[in-house]
Amino acid sequence: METNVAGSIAVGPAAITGPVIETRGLRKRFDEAVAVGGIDLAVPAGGVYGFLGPNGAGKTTTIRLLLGLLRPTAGSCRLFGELVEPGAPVLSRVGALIERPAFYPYLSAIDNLRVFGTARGITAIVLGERAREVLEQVGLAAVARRKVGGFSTGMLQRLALGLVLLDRPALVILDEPTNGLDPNGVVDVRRLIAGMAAGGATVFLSTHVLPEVEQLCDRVAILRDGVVVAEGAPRSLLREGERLFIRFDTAEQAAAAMAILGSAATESPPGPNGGAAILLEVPAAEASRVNRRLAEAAIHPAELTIQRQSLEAVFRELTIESDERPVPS
Amino acid sequence: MRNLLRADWLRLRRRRDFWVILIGITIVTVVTFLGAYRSDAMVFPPFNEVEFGQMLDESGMFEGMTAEEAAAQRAQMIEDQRAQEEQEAAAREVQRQLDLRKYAFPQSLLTMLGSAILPFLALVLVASMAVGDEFRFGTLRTSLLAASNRRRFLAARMISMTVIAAGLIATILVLGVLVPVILAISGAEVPPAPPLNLPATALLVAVDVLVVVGLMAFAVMVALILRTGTLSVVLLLIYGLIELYVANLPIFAIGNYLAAVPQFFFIQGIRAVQLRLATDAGSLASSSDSFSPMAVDLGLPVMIAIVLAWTLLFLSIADRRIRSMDVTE
Repeated sequence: METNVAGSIAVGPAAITGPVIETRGLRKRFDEAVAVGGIDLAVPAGGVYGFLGPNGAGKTTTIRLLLGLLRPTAGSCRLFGELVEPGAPVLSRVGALIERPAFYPYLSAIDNLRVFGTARGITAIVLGERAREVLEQVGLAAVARRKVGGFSTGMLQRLALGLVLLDRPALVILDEPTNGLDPNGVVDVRRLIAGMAAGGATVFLSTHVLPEVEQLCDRVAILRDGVVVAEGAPRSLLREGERLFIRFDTAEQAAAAMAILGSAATESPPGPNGGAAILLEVPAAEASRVNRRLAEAAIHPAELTIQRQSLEAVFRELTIESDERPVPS
Repeated sequence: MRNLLRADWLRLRRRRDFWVILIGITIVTVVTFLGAYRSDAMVFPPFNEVEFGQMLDESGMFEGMTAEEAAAQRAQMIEDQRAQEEQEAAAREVQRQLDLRKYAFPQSLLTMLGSAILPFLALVLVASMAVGDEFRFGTLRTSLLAASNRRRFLAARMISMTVIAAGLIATILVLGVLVPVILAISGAEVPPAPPLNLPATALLVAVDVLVVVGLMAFAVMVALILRTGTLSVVLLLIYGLIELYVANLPIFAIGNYLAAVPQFFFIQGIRAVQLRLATDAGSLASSSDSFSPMAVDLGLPVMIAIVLAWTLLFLSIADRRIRSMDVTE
């Protein structure tokens, strides 16, 4: 494995301008069920792009569309600017792990890598050495000659990652790569993903494990019912979940403040210190400006704190139907 | 394409059940050949005068005769029976000597090939496994992601299987040379055989390869349509029976203006061209086959074209199917 001191995994040269992945109005319908309801995505080159969504949101279907395994009902997707169709040549530049990896059960781990690596066009000489390196990398060196039929889900997941790493693709598409892995395996895989991104690959990571997203992703798209409901850098999504908690000594002060701050302010329980309180749905950076406006109106808050929602809370807010959301206590 | 063929070889060489089928089929072909030889080489026991006399005595047919009359009658009957049985035995021996020539080289080549109906069905099974297992193990997506080009993937599978089929036919032909030698060495009676027509024999072998490709194309088409490899052989047999039933309908009887139609059917077409070429080659094995005379002599090129057309039809349906199908496994 060509891993430098920073832990990066080198990929082949790729002069990429424009989005690596681009979808326009991508739709997929299975009989009456709409799995993907019109997705527009533009994934820039480099880094890790998170693709979030609850189970059944359409993540895997979208990935299969990106890989030309499914035909879209409408819309299109392009990889490196080339239209994706079943068997499109551009797919040879993509390494992919799709949920529940499948290998020939009667072949050993190393033979599976040899078969699929050969089919990808890797020469026997390169493959002989590379397969062993990759198995070492994903922690399967000890079982390299064992038949895959007896592998656990986690071991299959590791082998699938090995297959992705085999020919250093410029675009890596991973669907739930840490599924079925033990905690050490999860850490290893996250390290590998970070290494691939550091080596210049673009990683498109579908997951619903939020700590993974917070640790790895530069940008994320959140999918619900086959539609992207939010897109941007994780930090900007978290900013959308920021608000100010302002407590006053009297209810009159709170009412006056609400009149000044407008519809962004709502009443809130004051907490253990008593008085009256409001919540203001603005980014944290606005705190000083809000305080100044209140001071100009001779309203002096007893307490002003910034409340941040976790990514999990943002995710839940975006992906749970309003009537399913728990009522705040 | 070369990479895909190499990948297929890497995969197949480790597939134990595949080799068991091929070796098993080769053994069954030799056993069938030897079984037929044993049956044809069987010599009837000579006329047993004592046994026949006892049968006459027990039949009671001499009751009411004097001892002299009975003895004369009995001796006459035994003599008549001896003469008849010796005549029959001589005729049987002539026929036996003629039959045994089928098992001598070069006739043994086509006799061995003619005993090989099972290998043809086994190759249908192998072909349906080659594609059907991709659905069973879920490896179709892994394979298509590695191969990218679906048409090439299918073409590589067909070429691999054609090479295997050609190898199996070649093995059967080699056994057709070796087994008579072994028979002769072991002291078995193998009278000299008349020569074969070499061009017709070569064409028959080539057509047999085409027939196997046609049958395998049928199996692959069925496996791709049904997304399983388990039903191809059964469906082929059901199709064969239906075709036979339809071909024997009164509207297709000889003398009817539609009489030539069954010759355009898949299985009937194969049967017709194989028997025609075996006859042209001077095969003694085919001369004993009973088959209904052809209603219309379509000529060899047309007969071969019929088999080729069916093969191309199955291949084009399979190609269209794999290129347009959604891979949901």
